[in-house]
Amino acid sequence: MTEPIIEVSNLAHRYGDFEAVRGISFSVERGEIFSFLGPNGAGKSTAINVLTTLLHLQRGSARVAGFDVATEPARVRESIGIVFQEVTLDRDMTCWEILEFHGSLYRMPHQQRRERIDELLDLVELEGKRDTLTKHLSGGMKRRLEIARGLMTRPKVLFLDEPTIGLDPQTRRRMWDYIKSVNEEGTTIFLTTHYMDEADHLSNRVSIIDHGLIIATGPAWELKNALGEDLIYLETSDDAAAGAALRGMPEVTGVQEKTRGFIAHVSQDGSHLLPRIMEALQGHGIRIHTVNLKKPSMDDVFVHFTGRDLRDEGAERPGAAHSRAMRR
Amino acid sequence: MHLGFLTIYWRDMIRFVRFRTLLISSLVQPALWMAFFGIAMSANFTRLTTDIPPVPGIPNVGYLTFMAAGVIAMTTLFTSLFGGMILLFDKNWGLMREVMASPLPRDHIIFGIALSGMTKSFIQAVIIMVFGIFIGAEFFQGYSPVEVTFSILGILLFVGIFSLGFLFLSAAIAISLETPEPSRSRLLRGCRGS
Repeated sequence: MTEPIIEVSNLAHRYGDFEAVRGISFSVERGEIFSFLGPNGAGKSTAINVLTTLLHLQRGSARVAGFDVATEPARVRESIGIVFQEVTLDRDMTCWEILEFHGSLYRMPHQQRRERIDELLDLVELEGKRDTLTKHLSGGMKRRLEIARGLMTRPKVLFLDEPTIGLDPQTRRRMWDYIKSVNEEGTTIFLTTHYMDEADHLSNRVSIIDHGLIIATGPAWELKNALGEDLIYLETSDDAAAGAALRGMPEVTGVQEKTRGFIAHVSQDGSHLLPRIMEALQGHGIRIHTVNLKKPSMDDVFVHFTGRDLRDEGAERPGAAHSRAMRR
Repeated sequence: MHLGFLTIYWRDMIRFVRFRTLLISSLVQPALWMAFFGIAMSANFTRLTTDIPPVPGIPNVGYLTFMAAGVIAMTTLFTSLFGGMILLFDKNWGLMREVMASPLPRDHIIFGIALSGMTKSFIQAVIIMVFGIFIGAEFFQGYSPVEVTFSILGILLFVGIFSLGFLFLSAAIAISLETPEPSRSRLLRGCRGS
């Protein structure tokens, strides 16, 4: 196993009386995509700001790309690229100038800069917009340009703070493709998001963070498996009796009552188990009105681990509501 | 030597050139000021002061010449005050974060802004002088070419120092001004600490 590229232990950060991050430890392996998943105000951005040296380290220790954040901030800055949560493009500069400015901020040699700009504009499909002022770009184009900017210096680690916030579903998909292709070229990616599907789709490993603490860490599938293999939603003529009957089956790990019907957590592949469940219920003389089989989503995982619904947190998450609507 | 401040300089000059309305108004306004007020007032002042005998040993200049020097100083003052305030806009729009996260030494931000502010003042001072001479100000009357060269260098030196002073003043104000959003101001405080 190689040395981790990001190593954080007991990192804590407070703003006055408010403890934004309350002692988190994790490590990110070279070449992986690692996600911080949590609601707004969970401490994700604070953690990223400390790791990118924009906030100074208050407690704990952090090493990024082999350099200590507290003692060698300049070396850390040279080795990373950042895409901020909000758009930070100068409205009165062209795409080319944005990249040129960034490259020379990092003291890239002239020739290398020119080649890299061509390469990146090609990657994010903005060749045609080379001399367009950024104020004339669409939201998705701006985001792509920012990703290109983050990659300008061939960073070892790319930090993405909510990269797809406010983008439409098609653009999000394309952003994911870019992020994946960047990762395949060997850049480690550290991502924060409050979109379940994003963490699920993109990352090798996910940390669920809430109230400044890491609640669970692991590959997305492993976190989901903590809930059981599959979820089976049933509506029957007699839910109470059906629930009792299912609890008697060894493959059923839990039964959760809903306003109409109930959800059974099962430890096996649900598609094979379902016919047996239906036979068993019919054996008890219970009629089944509705059946729905689904894999646990990151949404379910989040509720399972934090005990609360992510979407209760704030009104500014159209994406969460959207993905929920799609599943129904 | 680290030439990072040139990057900041380059960016700020792009902004200066690209902001058309601001560019044109900042160049044309002092000239218009001189053309309208200078010529009108100088006619009046010349009429009023014909009765006063000249003080011996002190060279007499026309009102337009006297005023042109004031217009140069005033233009430099305002350009420089605005030049430093650009940092506040950068901060509010989040543009500063990119620079803060880069390995560029922090003092180069100020050097770059100071240099571009000075350049803007030079451009304006030269335009005002050329235009002043065009409409009849007598800057270098009776000077030899060598003396004229030295005078111009002296003017530029004065304009440079004057603009630097006000640039640093406005930059200091811009940096210490808190934005309404607390996280940003903390961000900057954190940056100063490292």
